[in-house]
Amino acid sequence: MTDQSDEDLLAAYASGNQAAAQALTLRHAGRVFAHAMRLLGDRAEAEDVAQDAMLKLWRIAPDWRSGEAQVSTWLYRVTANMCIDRIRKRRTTNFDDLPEMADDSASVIETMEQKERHEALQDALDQLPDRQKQAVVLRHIDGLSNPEIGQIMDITPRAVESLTARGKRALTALLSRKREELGYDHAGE
Amino acid sequence: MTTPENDDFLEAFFDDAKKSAPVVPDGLMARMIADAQAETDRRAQIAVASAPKSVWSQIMGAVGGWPALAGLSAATLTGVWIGLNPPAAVSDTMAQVMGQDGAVVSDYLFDPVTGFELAMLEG
Repeated sequence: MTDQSDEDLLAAYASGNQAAAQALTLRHAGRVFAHAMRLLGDRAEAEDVAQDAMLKLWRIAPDWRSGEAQVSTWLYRVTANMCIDRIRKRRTTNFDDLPEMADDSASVIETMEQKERHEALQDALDQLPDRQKQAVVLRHIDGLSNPEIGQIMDITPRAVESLTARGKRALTALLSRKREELGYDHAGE
Repeated sequence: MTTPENDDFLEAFFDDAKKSAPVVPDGLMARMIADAQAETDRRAQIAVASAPKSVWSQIMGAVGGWPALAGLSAATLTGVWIGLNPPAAVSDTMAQVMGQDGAVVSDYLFDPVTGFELAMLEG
């Protein structure tokens, strides 16, 4: 199952193969949840969105048109749209519920510092316009290319570049105030 | 304006964010897989409900299903049995009607005056 393409797995699931659904879940659940978490900053809401995004995938499986979109791109798009809908409904974000850190070996102080930096970044990201935030997260945290982001956001790669550039300028302005206290003073030196 | 220094500064934040990727909570994957199974079941139910019916199932539906078909079969068999091996009362009556035993046929079983005769009497 692990060497099959997403489209093949989706077709297999549409024919009733539950192992294919498990393989797709293992492959995509992490990035869907992480993306929702970064856009929303709220664990419970990110879980709901991630589950709903996968449910939409299960529902569209029999009608999936091969070659039109990549499953991963489609999932990013669906996830981002649902997150933006939620953000527009509530413009306040709960920062108390931060994501668990993947690296359990970090010391308590390091974890605290990392948590503070993570909070600061999330705080700054949440102050960006929705589209800028989405483009910055996809480009600089999820590591997607501009053409991929263009497909997800339905814009040209040049427009993605423009969005991310503006987003980064805004983030720099927002984060530079906290630069010293967050221990980034000598970053890049 | 983004400068190389600012880019490095931001990259440090982004690198941190990449390292601390949110961990998928316990149970979320299980719920996703359960949704996949539920969706498969839902599609199967819809497929069964909307599948075209065979001629046999249409007949069954018109008759009223298996219980009605059992009753109909029992009635048919009873009719055939009576036809092949009729009780004495039935066979005597039929014989009289058909005039096969030479006996006087009951007045109740035939019309003594035909329509033609009535027409003649009335002129």
